[in-house]
Amino acid sequence: MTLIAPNLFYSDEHEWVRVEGNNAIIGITDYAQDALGDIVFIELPVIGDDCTQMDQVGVIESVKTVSNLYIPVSGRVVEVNEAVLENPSIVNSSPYDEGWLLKLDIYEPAELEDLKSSEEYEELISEEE
Amino acid sequence: MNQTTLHAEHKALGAKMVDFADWSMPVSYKGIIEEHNAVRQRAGLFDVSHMGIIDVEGTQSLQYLQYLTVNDVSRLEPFQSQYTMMLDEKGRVLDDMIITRLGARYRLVVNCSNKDKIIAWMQLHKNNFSVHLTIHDDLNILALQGPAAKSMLEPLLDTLWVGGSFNVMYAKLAGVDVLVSRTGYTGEFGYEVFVHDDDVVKLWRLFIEKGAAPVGLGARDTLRIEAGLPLYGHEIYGLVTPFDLGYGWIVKLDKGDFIGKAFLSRSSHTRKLFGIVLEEKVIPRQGTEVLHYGVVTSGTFSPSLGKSIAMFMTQRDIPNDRHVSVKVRDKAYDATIIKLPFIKKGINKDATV
Repeated sequence: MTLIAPNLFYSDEHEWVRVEGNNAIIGITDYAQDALGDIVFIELPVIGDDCTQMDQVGVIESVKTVSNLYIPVSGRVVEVNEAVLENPSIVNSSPYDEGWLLKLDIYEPAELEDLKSSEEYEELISEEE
Repeated sequence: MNQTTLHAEHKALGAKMVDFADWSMPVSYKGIIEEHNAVRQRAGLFDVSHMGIIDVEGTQSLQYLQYLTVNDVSRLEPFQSQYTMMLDEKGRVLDDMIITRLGARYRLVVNCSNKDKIIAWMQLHKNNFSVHLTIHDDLNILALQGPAAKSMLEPLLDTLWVGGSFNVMYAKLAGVDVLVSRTGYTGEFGYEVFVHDDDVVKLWRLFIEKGAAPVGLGARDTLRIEAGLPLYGHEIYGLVTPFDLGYGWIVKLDKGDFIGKAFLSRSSHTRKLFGIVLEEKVIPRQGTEVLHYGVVTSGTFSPSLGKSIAMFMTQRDIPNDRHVSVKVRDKAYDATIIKLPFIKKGINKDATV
């Protein structure tokens, strides 16, 4: 059963966004990690990088396939999860928690309106399944 | 889309299914790495019933297969198998395969993706020979692979297993009629079991009950790459020869005429398949450039080594341990050339006794 965390924003590319004050914490969804399978390599932007919504900023590679990471909301990278770079399988075991990828300073909070709610995302993946 | 007889079993086990050469096949059940490790450490069970099974009968079966394949079929004793290839007149490999002598009959097991092409080719060339072909859509192949395969399978046989690698035996396995073959595609000790549609579910469930982990095509690929085994469409393509692949020993130029002989007789032996091991875990997949040396034919993450690995074809005289760069998504990564395989056959040999 695919897990969808409540109270997050979701992109069509299967990323999630948790808003904390002016920060956005970004990761990939349970659905995405399950579709990829065993993740072995992750490439992320570095602290200080400016990212524009829908930019391809990273790569998530599993044994089976490779997937691009798109930025769901524009901002400046203020923190990168070094633990997942060291041990990418954390994203498989804990996609919404320990497996977070990036923390951004949000430039344009209005962009969050482009994203889906938990309920809307659930609808999206039930269509894909 | 085609389905194997075990399709419902795969679904019930929660397998992720993929379209593979117009067959719906399991790519993984619990995860590629877990399944890979199960084969290396204990035993894994694969449904490879999508492969083509072609039996050749008739008084000129031997002459016919001698003419169509590169290896010497006359050297086969009854119930013995050999690895071989079929080439066309221009030298292109049509497929690699295993031929088994079953008394007066011969059985070919060919790649799923080449099955129709090989059947057409064999039919095209059978007019000059007194032979009859049977395509076995009623048979399944279960591969039981890994160090525990022996203790799992052999007590279920009604006959003592006496053969070695590349031998086959008719037997009853848990009361079911099977043909057991000591072959595989994992680099581990193992068997491939030919079983009829009526009995395959029973044997599949029995092996799982005995502790074999179901394994999908994902781990089948990581296992065969670690073992340095070529795959049609990856290492085997275009005018690549058995010599290039390190399988020159299957070419028997002294056995008489066969299709592709003229090409192989004059082909140069300048290329060879090598491996590379990367420092980073980025995966150099098929088509990745090995700067100045060649192009990756298969690449994956090696669960056994914990490193990314790949195979590629280059000049034969490259020294091992040479440092090279591979280019993945416009970035260069360090790699070291090694001699294949990445994992020696029978790494867990002790456990097979």
